[in-house]
Amino acid sequence: MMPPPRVARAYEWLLCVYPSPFRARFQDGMCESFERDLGAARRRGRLALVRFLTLTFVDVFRFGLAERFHGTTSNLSGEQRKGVTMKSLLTTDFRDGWRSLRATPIVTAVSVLSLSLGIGANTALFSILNSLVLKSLPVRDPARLAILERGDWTNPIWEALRAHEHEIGDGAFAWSASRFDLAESGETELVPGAWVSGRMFEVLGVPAIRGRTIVEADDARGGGPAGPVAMISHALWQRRFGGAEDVIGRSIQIERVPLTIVGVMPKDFFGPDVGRSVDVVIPIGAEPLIRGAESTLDHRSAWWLSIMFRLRAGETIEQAGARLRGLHNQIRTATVPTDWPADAQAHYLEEAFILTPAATACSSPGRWRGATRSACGWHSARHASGSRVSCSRRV
Amino acid sequence: MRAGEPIAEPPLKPAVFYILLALAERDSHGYAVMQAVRERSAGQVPLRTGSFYRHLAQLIDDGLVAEAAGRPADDDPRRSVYYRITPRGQRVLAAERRRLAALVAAIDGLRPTPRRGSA
Repeated sequence: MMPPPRVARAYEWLLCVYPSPFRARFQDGMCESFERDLGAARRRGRLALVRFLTLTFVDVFRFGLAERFHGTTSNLSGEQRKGVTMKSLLTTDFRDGWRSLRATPIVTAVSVLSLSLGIGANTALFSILNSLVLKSLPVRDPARLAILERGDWTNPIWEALRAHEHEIGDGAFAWSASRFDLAESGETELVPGAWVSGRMFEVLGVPAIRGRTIVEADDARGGGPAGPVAMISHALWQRRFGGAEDVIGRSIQIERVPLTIVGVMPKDFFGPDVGRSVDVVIPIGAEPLIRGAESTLDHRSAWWLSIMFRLRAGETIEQAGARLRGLHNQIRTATVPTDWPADAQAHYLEEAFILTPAATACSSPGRWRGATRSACGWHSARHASGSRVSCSRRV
Repeated sequence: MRAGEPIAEPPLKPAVFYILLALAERDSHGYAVMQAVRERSAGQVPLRTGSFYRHLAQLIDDGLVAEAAGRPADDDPRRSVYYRITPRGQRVLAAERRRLAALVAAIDGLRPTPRRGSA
């Protein structure tokens, strides 16, 4: 009984494991042997057929690779023999190593376990490093984003910079990672979130997949024309609202304050911090509604915001930085904490604004502070663990 | 089988011995040799296509086996090559036979040691 042509063709294809001179000599004979053995295996039943095909597969790879890497030595020159002998020695080493491993199973098991744990730990660390450090922000043209270095900034500084954002670059935004309680009553239900300025989505170039993004008008104190609003993540939309199409316009309780959902963020957008996802974003202007008397919007020494600029097309970060330095005195003077000692105020007035590329700052080992951490998620991780408290502790 | 090892010197590997033995009986094509090895060794030599043709390649390269010129008139036309044992192969096989015979003689020459307490 002849085997189906596709099986024979598959075997011929498998024989490519052998070097071509070997195939030229023996392929016809090997195919004939395969066909006859295959017929015999078929006659013995399904189990025999599976066993035969499995062994054939192993056979081809075992001897094909051996032939490819070792070959035969009879017709080789002296130099070639030396090379083959070295290969043979390597083979012997591997074989002896394998036998040693089999002879000491406990040592082998411990070694394999140690290696597995080591490889696993390295993989996990690299994944974290990749998400925190190496990965660019998942936004439009991240190379044109620059972050204001040296830590967090006060809202008065942000508002002063916002008034000049178009002088410095092609827009700016501020944000602060936090955690929000979504429970309407009873047990707390904390989710990761962020305070964001009105133009964040516009500057980042991230659209809403349902409804609209938070816009500049929403960022008014106490809420914009649409009242206090929020955007939710794709994950929260699915988890809490079952992906309902009518989620837009629904109310969501955040810290026991009702806000209107105006949009759903894209599935692949996790927020302004790489490596940390947010489920809810709220305009910074809504902060007094939620924090009430604890609002820090007008505190000149409440350091809780990160600030990012989008550079103009074709411009360098040095050009934007030069314009920012031109505004230095004006902004510093307008925002100096009046309750600070004179020497601290003097230092405050002198401290320069520095812009750092947001997409690449993470890879610069000398810039592991402030803005870099914000862009890479370190800043947000600290806030995530401390929630609102961490925002006000630096007051 | 490893490259660099002389295949033509006794002691022969069982598979090589049976291949030479099959070809010493008659010129054959590859599959017939494989079948002969399987039958003569009563399945003790697990010869599969890959291992058989690798042994055959080295036997040919070492001059113990060669392609046969003629073939039966009623043979399958798809079958391309018959193999024959060479005079050198015959000598190696004879040497192996002598070695095995010496071994058997050595075993036969052993006198069983009387067990303590036996008659």
